[in-house]
Amino acid sequence: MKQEFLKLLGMEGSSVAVLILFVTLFVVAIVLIFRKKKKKKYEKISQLPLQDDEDKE
Amino acid sequence: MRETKIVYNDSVTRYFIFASILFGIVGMLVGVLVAAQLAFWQANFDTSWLSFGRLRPLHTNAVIFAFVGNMLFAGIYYSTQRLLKTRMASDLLSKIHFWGWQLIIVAAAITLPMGITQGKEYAELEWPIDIAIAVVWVVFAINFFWTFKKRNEKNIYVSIWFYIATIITVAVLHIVNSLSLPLDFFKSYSIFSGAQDALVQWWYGHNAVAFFLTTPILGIMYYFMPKAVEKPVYSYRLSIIHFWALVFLYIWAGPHHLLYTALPDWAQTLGMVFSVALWAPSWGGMINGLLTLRGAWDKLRTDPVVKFLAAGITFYGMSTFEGPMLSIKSINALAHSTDWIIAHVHAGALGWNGFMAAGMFYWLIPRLFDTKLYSKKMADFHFWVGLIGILLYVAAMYASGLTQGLMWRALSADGTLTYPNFLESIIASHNMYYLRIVGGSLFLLTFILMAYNLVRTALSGRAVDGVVHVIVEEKQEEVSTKRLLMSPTFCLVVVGLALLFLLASKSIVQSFLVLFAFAVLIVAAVIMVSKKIDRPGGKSWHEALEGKPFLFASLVLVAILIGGAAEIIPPLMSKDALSFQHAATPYTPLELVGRDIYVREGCYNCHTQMVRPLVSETMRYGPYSEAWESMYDHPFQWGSKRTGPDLQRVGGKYPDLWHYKHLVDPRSTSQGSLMPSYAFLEKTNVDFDTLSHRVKVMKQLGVPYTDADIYLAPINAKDQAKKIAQGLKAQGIRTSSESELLAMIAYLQKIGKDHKQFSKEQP
Repeated sequence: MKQEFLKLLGMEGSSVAVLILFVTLFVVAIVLIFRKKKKKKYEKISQLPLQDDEDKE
Repeated sequence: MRETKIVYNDSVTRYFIFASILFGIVGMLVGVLVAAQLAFWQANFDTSWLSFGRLRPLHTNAVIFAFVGNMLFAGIYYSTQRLLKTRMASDLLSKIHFWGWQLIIVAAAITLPMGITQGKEYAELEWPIDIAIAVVWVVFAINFFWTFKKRNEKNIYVSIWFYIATIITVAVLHIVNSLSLPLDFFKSYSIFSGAQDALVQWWYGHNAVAFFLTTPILGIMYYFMPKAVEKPVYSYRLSIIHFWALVFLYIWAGPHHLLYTALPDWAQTLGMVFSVALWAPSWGGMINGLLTLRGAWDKLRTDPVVKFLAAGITFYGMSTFEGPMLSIKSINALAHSTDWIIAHVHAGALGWNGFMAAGMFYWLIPRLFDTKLYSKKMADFHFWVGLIGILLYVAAMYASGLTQGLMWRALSADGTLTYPNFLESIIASHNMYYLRIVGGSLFLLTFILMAYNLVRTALSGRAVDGVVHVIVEEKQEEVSTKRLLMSPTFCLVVVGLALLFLLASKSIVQSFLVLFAFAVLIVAAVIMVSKKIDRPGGKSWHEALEGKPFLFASLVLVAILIGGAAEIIPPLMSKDALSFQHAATPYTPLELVGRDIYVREGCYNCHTQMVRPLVSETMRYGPYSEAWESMYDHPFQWGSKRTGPDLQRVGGKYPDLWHYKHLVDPRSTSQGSLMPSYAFLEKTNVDFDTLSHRVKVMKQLGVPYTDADIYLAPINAKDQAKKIAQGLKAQGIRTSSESELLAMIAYLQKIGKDHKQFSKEQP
């Protein structure tokens, strides 16, 4: 089964460990990127488009 | 710290908006005309400058560069000033940009119907206009980057990143793909030929879609969607991933336009893999755009601006799912060259670009004229009827595309083609072509309605420029560029990119390398956005980068060059295409001028010259195409759409008389054909005096002509034309031996002949 899956990905020459490593890295990256406590970091810059013109002339 | 008053230059935004609306109407009107020509061949009016082959490029150029071009400039000028909290650096450069761009559009509108073209899709404009485009683009870039110097906002918002990527990449694409050797002021030959030209052209063509029709509009989405719903973008962090992944991956995807062609197989596979990978960042962007509506979904019912933007983003999502799907070779085998691709393109152009433009215009015009929208009901009507128009259009093209794809490949129980006559598929599609006119017309009519609504809005107010007061802060100590580039994070990026670059020389199936490279890049990305490089300031590597626009632009340049270089340089260096050099023969002077007429009349808009290695194609047309066959073709003419059959094996298939009759009255030989009559070629004479120069320029490009070939070109061409004329005369056709029609026949009879000769010589 594992070998068939690896073959599907064109990775028949590689070990399953490579796949596990890649998937783990991918999942960790997603978790790190979207973790909630970090979201405040971009609060200021993401508000930029919301600032309206103060006046017209 | 001091406070300063900023008055934005909004007049340039107003100019670009109205130019976009005007040229949008023109471009769509020509679109409806060419759609009508495909339903009623009589709509070509037997007139050269009104024929489909010349008007279709006018339609595509007008919509892409005039309508969307002016729209994206309007969005960029408006949002850049507000996001950087400063006026554009130079009003003069803004004006030069505006008027220069309009002059280019006018030049295109005059030259394309005249048949002045380079014969490469979406890059048809001849070399003097190409130079003008480059100059105006540089003016735009100077103005844009100069504005950074004056900015009062340290960090650069994500919209601006997309604008930077647009400016850098379009410049690179345009310059490389337009490289050509002029014959005279109105004609040039691409310096690339055959498979190499095809690869460069579709690297350009695909990324024109990416970096002209997509990235700037994404920047506009990231600015105007939060504005319209009065909420910040759903995830700024996702926008960072969206940006870098999209910019890096897009540039590799060009070869998916050339699947099953004579392009090297590794390049096709690379194009397919990266196209499928593109699905992820594209949908990341779509999700980010749509989820910005969180907590404000009710606005979809009440605000036409939000309706247009949300529908536009949804179309983006659908198109960017369909694109990767069409890039899978087995699906591409069915869909390529059919109307399915036309459906795909128009879902993007009308749904994504058209609706995003409408949303932005409806939001901007009341603010730029300090008034309210003239009629909200009219805008709502525009949305719903426009949407019906798009759906009718794409549904019709899906139906005809699938019909064509299935009929072309259908085999009977005895193993023969079920529909051996190509025209059967076109006749079967005909009803859908009527429906397309209805869909396109509805979209055009609602667009005109929008123009009326916006003009009435503008007339009810007065032109105003936005004003803000900003606090100018003293310069703070920054993370140095050197520190950013020498950091371990950046080294990881370099390693990842270097590994990916090696894909060009290594087989794609060595997936370990691909996965390892991606793993390295993902680790680097995580560190970039998470790990602090600047402890006291608390900035991550990427945050520090966001304050350095020029370094940012340089890294974008590197990101887009990696994919382009990895795919394009090896084929340019390859000797593979030359291994059958002895089999390819240069065109005779008459054939050469015939080929120029073929390019001038835009025959590539309906005919391919690329038999794919698929059973149904080789049964229908003959042996599949090989790279060496087009090695002297400047430019290549593989085409991308079949409203008529492939022509790669047409040489010698029919007698000259058949071609004569077919060109003068296509229905006389091919009942049900939609081809325009080319009887006007019989009334125009070949300029034999220019032939020596044509051959000489070709020699300069590497085609093996001798000095005698150059010197004798007019004589040889006249001799060949006389022979054709005499042959026709013997069959009862009296025609001038100097007419362009005979040159065209000579060229058509040459296509694929080298392959026949080569096959005969083989044991």
